Amino acid sequence: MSNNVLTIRNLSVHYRTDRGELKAMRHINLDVPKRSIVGVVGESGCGKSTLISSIIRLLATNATIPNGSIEFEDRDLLKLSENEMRAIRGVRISIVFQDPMSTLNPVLSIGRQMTDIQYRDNKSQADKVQRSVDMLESVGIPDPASRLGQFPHEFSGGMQQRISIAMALQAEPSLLIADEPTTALDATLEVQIIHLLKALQTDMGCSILFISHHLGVIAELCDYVVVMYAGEVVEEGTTRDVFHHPAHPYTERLLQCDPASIVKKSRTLPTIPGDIPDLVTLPSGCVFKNRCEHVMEQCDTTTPDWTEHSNGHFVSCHRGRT
Amino acid sequence: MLFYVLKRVALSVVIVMLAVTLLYCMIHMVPGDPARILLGPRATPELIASMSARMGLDLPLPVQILRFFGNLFRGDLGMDVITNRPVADIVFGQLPYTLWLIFTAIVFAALIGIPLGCYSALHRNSLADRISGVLSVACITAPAFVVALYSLLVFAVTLHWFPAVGAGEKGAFWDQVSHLVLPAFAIGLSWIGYLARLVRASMLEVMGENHIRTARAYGLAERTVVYRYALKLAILPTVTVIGVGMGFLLSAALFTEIVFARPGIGKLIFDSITTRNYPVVMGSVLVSTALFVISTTLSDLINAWLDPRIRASL
Repeated sequence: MSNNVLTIRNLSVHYRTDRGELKAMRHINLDVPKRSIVGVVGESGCGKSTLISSIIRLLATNATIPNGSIEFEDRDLLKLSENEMRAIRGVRISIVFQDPMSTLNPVLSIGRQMTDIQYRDNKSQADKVQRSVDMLESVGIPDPASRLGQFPHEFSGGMQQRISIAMALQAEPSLLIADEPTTALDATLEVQIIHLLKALQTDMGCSILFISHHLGVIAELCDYVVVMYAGEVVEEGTTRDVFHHPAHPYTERLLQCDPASIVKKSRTLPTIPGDIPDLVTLPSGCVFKNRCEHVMEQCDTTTPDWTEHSNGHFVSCHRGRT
Repeated sequence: MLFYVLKRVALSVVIVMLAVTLLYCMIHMVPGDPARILLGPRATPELIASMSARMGLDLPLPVQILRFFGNLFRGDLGMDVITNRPVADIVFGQLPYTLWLIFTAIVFAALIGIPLGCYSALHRNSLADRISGVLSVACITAPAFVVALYSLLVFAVTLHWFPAVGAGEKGAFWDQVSHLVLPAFAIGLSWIGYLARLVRASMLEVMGENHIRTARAYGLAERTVVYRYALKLAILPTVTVIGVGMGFLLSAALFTEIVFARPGIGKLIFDSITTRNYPVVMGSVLVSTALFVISTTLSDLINAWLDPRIRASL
């Protein structure tokens, strides 16, 4: 048995569009060790959502997976039948989505939705309801038994996200994917949700793949960080390594742009000049070359290899190599 | 909730009264003395005057309207001037025919249109979706009376599958059903297309929403996702449209009842207008207006029952 709950190797996802093949994700490697929290950072459009959708295999119909493997609990998810995959969703792998106000069905009661997803369990209805009550209790919903009959719009955004977390963890999955779970919430709630996730993760011993563009949250919560840029993983390592000794120019710039790290008083927020390259007509060489401060001759021609920068700290950059 | 229902009922009464007043004014503006037309060219002036008095036409218009409402609150819709029977008896005698016709038509349309719309939405841009799209538009554009005439010609006159005219023997269930098939088809056909397009559009919208992605991410069976999680939301606009569509259904029923020589409110309105039998016209229009108001209220209540968000805003 491997030490990872999730191992992604050489995974690419393309979308067929009118303009041609859009290479949304290319040759991704990613590990989620057991009982750990792995953060994925990157700006909008870097392939974070594609990554999640490909793990639970709910990609858009125009998507293709030309190569790669997604090993989960020693099975390649890409080789499973639709029914085998459906048996994993919500049981072994669960997701907490971004916008809590729209992720719950507005016309079905919370209790109905929470017991519906237990349809595979061979339990009585009363036991299922009890399970849901217990879960709501553990995410801090007061008086859960009486609130089961209520509908999503009767809860606040923070409460709805707690309910989503309760639903996701109800079946005690070994992997929880959290897709920017706090982006739609205010700062106070964000902290509460982060602490809740951390506590539940320790309790249940599951792993979390935490997607965010909020560097502060990642630093606080995650054991490992994966930095994505334009559909590629450019750096991966422990949170300490990546945040204190960033090896990729993109990670460096990203950390400089984090408002929390700005000490000098300035009228403008720092940004990374330039745009992500067009993913249909992808240029040769390094994907970050047009925005990089340290661009060299070889960046234009050859794609940098995925190399170990220091122990367990991987990067894809020509800098510092000969 | 109770307050909402009471409010709707009060509003309905106002709407019905306004409609009746409007109709009274319109009848008043139609040229020709109703009594004279009713009695024919050889009637004496005394006879015409006494007939006018019996119909209440000699009084000023506001008094006529007030008298109508006064009688209405006592459950009296007036007297049929030709047969001298109470209008209420005539109208409520004809009403079940029309109600059954409309009900059958809309159930028939819903049973075909809603699943067709779901199928089209779930197999978007497939050949079946395109064919259903073309057929739906064709159905929508075909007026009820044209469908009535052609189905009469094909299925009754040529093929002899169904009887051509009437509503069947009283008490003979299957005879009445077989008389119901063609008229209901004529009214329901355009609604199949209409409902199919509507359900397809709202289903496509709902299927793209985030909570559907959630339901799928929890491994719920596609059948559960579609028919329990999506359809309950996607059906809401359809319920509203059917409620409001009662008006169109009633006017379609009028033409269809004439074509099939079927008893019913529509036929009654048509016959009483041609004979200028105004008390009957008033009575049947009042009942159809009430029917329309009841059905819109009912559809709003069904929506509130289906959607807790609407319930909360009441």
